Amino acid sequence: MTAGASGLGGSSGTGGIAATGGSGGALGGGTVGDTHGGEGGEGGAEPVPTTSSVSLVGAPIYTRVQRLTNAQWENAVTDILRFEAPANLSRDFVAPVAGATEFTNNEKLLFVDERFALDYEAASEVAAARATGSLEALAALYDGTDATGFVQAFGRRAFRRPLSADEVAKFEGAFALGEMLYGAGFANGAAVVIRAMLVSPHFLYRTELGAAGEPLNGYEIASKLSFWLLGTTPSDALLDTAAAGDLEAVDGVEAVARQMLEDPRALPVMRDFHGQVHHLALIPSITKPGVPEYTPELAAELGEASTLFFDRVFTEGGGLRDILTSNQGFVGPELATLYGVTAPASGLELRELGSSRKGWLMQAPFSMLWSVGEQPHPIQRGVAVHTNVLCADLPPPTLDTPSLPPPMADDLTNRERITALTEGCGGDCHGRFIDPLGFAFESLDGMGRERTTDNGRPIDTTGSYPFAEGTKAFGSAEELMQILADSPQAHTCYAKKVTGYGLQRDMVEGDRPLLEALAVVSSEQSLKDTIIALVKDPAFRLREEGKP
Amino acid sequence: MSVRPNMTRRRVNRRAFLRGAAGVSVALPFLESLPERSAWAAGAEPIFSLFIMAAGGVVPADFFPTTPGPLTSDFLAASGTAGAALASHAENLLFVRNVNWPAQPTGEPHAEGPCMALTALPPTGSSSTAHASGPSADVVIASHVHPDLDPLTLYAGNLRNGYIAERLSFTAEGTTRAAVDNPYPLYQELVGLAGAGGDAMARALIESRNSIHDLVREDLTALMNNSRLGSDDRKRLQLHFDSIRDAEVTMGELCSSTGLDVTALDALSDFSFTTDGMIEKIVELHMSLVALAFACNHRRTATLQWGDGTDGTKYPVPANEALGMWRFNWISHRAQSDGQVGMDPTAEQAHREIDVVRMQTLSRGLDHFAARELADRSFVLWTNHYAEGPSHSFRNVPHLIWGNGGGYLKQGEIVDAGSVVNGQVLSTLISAAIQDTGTVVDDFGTGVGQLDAIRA
Repeated sequence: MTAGASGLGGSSGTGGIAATGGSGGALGGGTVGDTHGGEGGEGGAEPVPTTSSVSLVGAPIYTRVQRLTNAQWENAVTDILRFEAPANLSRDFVAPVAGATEFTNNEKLLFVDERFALDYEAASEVAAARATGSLEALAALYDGTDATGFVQAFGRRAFRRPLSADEVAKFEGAFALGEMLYGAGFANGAAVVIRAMLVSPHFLYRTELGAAGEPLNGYEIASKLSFWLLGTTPSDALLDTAAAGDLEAVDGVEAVARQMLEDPRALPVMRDFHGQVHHLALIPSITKPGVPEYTPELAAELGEASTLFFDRVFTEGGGLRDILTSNQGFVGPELATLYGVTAPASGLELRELGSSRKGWLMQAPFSMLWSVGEQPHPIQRGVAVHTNVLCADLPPPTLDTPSLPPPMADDLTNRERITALTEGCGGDCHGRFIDPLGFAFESLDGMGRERTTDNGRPIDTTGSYPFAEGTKAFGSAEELMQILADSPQAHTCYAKKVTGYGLQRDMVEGDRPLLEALAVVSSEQSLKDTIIALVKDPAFRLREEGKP
Repeated sequence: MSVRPNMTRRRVNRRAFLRGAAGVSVALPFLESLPERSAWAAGAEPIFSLFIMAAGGVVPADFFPTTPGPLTSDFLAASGTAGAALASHAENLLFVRNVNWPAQPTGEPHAEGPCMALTALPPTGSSSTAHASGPSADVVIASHVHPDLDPLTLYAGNLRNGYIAERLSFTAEGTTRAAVDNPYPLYQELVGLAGAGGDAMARALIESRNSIHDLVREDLTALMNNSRLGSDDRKRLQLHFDSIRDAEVTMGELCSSTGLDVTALDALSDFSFTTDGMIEKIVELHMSLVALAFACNHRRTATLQWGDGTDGTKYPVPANEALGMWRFNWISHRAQSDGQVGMDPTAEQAHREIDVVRMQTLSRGLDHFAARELADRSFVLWTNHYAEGPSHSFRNVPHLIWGNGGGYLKQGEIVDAGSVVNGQVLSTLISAAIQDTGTVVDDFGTGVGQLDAIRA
């Protein structure tokens, strides 16, 4: 089988099948969609887009030397040193800057500066001391006492490939140095070898050193799969698979990926993925002064209910469609009361939340996160959908944004006062892209409770949105959720996020055919299937063609 | 396209290293036995602060140029003042005139002044037992940045026989904190000589690290030579390569025993203070160790009292030899008396010469701070327990500040504070010292607001 023959879309010109009819079709080939001219012909004004589209304006490096993330480093050290549990040695490593890239595992955030050089060295010394500090630890590490055998066996685990003869000789020297400096004995020699390997670039970076356009070798694929899907280094068995050449064919890659997706270690990786997509880390920071119903007990349930929801989507073989349309959610005693469902005896349990609660965006954590006190914040909710679910660009707000008028002012509904506010600031973006999405959720107040009136008047949840595939009207949040679940733009967005997270780089226009093809898989199948489709694609298996 | 714009080499602090191993002290080689010190907040650079208070006042007219304006090395060197000894540090100096203590002398100014220098509060009591009414700046800073660790409280003088000895650092209740007069214990603590076998282990660690660094450099070089790598990847590997060297510099130079007068420090294992001028060497040694402690982030703040309240040092300067070697307090009084003041011109000349000696000592102490690259990460305040001897005035007490405190303070200037109480100065300095915590102080002691004249 040729390298590209099984591919879906073939990013960056690798060729392949554009399953949705080719770029520039229904999903919008441009970066901002169609535009109309500025009102009144005021020269120089930025054209305002008339349709939404998945933005692909990144600037990837296409690195060949991908530094491990802090979590990957911790897991890899745990595995190769045979620790029973993570030693938490990375806890003080500098966290990557959040917000500079779509995900914090992006290649542009991962490098080794002086702080990391110092931290890696310090951590390597503690790790080595721990791994050689007792007979039990040594027995778990290596079942022999010879330097060469240890260097070869541990080196293969650390560097995720067999060591060359020169490398073996070099680390035998490190072993001898350890015995010379600290006294004769396997532990002293092994400790220095471990220290040296843990700060080696061959451990700290996952490399792709083959020719551009050529498939990654089996060891590179093993590392790429394992670090993405399990968050850790390849197992000995997977390295054996790589050595046998079984990862050079697409079938072998698929088989391993499917195994990994059923491994419990995949769950924290996908939890991190969905957490970053929907900014779940913000949930603990929700405050609602003056709202007595927002109790510490309720607050404590929100994060876990969110995590469990996304965990279940992944483990049960769901995907974006389930995220957007599921009527089920996790509740503890407080959320059960809020939703009006039976409370669990303890902990959080899955419940049917009713047909009026469709998808994650209609559950209480989302409603509470994007609101002010008991009032919904339609702008924040609209922006969350526009950017997190539809991947559309959003120009920065105007500098002279006026303050929100107080709730209930002048007998206005929330929708009316937001409309008045955004009309006042020339709200082309608000009126077209943000407010309609936010207003659809006016049936849920700032606590996520259902409501039919606002300020004594009926709520209005109607609106329309200019999707890339065409403008769609909706009468309620439930209708909007179904439209989103059926939207090629939403699935392309989800594919963009899966791919950006998996490849650890920005997405660009050249990726659009791949993303549109993955969107079809996302629309019809599960997240796992979407991931499988990606790892089979040349974009994953080949060294990016034409890239340095 | 470029690699992440802020992917630049950045000098890091030892704290990263000391805490980097999940609570286990790995420390730098010669600091093998250093306990873990927790003060680092990720992403925020710690700022270090040393407060020095000298005894006995100065000769104001010849101490330092006072006309507000720029302060340059050439100007200071040609000023004909004691401050000329600090000419090499001029660009990092800020001289502040017109700062007052919050109360007038009422009984024993030799005790009252020190109680106000770092508290900015009128003292409690007026005799030789006067004590502070609140915490001193160093204690406040420590409570913010390492509440589990006391500030360093150091002393140069006749601590064990002084009439008014330590009176500079005070707890929150205003209780005087005991000071350490001998630099040797801090030296021991910092270099880990107290631990048996520590030296051999340190040497082994140094040697193994150096060898490992060589291996890493070799691997990085080989990777960088891979023709398939693009320029961004080469830059990122070069950053890694350079960072190892930077780390070695940090470990090997900024936070190492390099620059310490080890011979003099070792000699203090059998400490006996003498009043023949030894005080100046003790000051310098203390300052060298504080600079090391800061470079290693061992502590964030320290005080150094430079002389007893009625200091008895017999400074070996020409005019004092003419006087027959008076005690410094008598020279300050311009009379051969601890209880009376006079107008003896030779004593005034001796005081002038002593000012020069003390500024020379301060300059050598600051050399240690400069060598450890602390100018942008710390400040050193030098002040006195009153303005000048005969009057024992608590008004216009000289304040010299070295270092910009993390960009918080002006440098290279002479400024007139405008007759403010020292609370404003200390509020500003405390805020500079704890800026990594996000806390701002503007009401320390009796001060109201910060002193804009000294803020950058």
